[in-house]
Amino acid sequence: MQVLKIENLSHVFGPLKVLEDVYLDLEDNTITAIIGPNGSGKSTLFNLISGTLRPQGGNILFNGINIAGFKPYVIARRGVSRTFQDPQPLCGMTVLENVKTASLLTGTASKESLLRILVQCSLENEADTDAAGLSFAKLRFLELARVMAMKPKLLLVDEPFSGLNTSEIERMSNLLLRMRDEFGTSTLISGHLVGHLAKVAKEFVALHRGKVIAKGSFDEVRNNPAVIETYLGESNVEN
Amino acid sequence: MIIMKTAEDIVIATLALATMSAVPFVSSSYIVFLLNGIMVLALCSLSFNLVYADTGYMNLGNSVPFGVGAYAFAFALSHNWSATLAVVVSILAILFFSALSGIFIVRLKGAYYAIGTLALVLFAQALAYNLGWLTGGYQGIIVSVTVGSAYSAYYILAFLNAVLLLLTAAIRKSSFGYRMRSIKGNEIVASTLGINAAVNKVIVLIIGSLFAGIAGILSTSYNGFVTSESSFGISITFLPVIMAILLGSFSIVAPLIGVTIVALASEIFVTTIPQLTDFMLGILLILAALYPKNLIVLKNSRFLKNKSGVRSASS
Ligand SMILES: Nc1ncnc2c1ncn2[C@@H]1O[C@H](COP(=O)(O)OP(=O)(O)O)[C@@H](O)[C@H]1O
Ligand SMILES: [Mg+2]
Repeated sequence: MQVLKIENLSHVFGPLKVLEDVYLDLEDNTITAIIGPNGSGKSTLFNLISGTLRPQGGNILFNGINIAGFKPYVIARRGVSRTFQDPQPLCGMTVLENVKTASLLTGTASKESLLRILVQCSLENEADTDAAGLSFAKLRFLELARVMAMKPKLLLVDEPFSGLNTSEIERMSNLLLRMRDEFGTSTLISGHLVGHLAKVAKEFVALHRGKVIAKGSFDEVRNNPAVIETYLGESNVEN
Repeated sequence: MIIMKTAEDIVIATLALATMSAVPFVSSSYIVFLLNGIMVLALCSLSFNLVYADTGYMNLGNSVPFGVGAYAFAFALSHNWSATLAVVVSILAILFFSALSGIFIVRLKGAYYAIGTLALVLFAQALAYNLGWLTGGYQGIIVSVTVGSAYSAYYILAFLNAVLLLLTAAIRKSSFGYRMRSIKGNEIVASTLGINAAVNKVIVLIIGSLFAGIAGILSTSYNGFVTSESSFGISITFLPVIMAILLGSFSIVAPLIGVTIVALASEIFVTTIPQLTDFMLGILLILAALYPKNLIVLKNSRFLKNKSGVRSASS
């Protein structure tokens, strides 16, 4: 069963073709990594799926329903959550209030369950601080804490590892795996650190200049000639 | 309840209530009129703040529902409708127009929202001048009132101010309050959390407008007249808003102290140096903008403590 099926999705910003005829299938209960150099269109794809950017054409089938063009809050209520590449706290609200606001989606969440999420994200000591004052790494985890409170069916995490150290990346990875196992969340994760991505993702998709150039397992994608050519001389891929 | 936490708070609230209820018995009708004026401004300030403090949206058109209430009530009374019918019709008019303007301006963000709402005041003003059959044009509408009207208005205004104060605190604790604050915190993120910002913005605007509108009804009920100036002039359009913006970050009650001081000062200027009233008020407002804390006089007092904890970050 496919939780997400993208067909024929294209997007232009003025003269710039950011996404061209993208096809994508996400399997249920699976973490899929989407890699590609900066500017290849990963964040734009996330914006289109989550509705924060209006698609200009193409289909985005979530559980068989075309959600292309739906309002972001409608898409969220259907079970699609996302994080932002540049962390976006709800300013003027504490860390706990940020997570509580996200939990309103699924109805009543006990304070204990919210605090448990904070502990899992190492945010328990910041529960009552204004989210806007957090360090960068803490903000990354707040992004994740919010979506954990939403128990999504489909999760889009945009470069969650960027700016984190190795132990923080491991913690983040474990939380993503846990969401898959506990809520049955299917995840699309973008990033550059393919070595770390390979530890959580079963499937890989490589994007280049708005086009999908390879799909498959980590090894298949890594050894794909088009991918090798794209990354030749690129320094932002580490293992 | 945020604004009544301690026994001390309850004592203060009780004393305030007792004093307020006693005032009409021990003072002249002049004082009652003066306090009515202050409480009208206070209600407008609180209703503006209900929207602004939580969503961050500046509704500079808060005097529009005030005017709709004031005019509708005056129109109904001058056509000899019963008082009950007049109130019902006025409230329906307030709800109708606030829903209409809410839907009209809901797409606007930030400064555009403020400008859009301000434009509604100019629009309402133009209508008030031009729809003579409805509004009495430049003269406005005069209705007959008794001294008793001022006393009833007094108690209703005091009651509504208390209700709105408690409502503001209650909303802040509710999930509706969380949704509104997330709109202020980051509207795009809020939408990705499943929050329909537009609906929440319209709802809170209607609630705020309802209170401003009832303040308008009451103002007609004891003043005995309504004009474009009395509804859409500086005093209703800006004073309550300025106080809420300058002082709202300190506590929910602070803007009320602000409007009281400005209204009393204005009364003193009018009776002592009438030609210089606007000039002096201008200076007072500039000073208030420069030194908001000093305007509340009670520096470091309980009124400055941000018990709500809501706006400390933005101020
Ligand atoms: N709002 C926008 N307006 C114009 N161009 C944009 C906008 N957002 C992204 N782009 C451009 O689209 C391309 C893809 O960007 P993005 O989706 O952020 O890529 P990635 O996330 O893979 O780094 C880039 O060239 C970027 O400059
Ligand atoms: Mg990106």
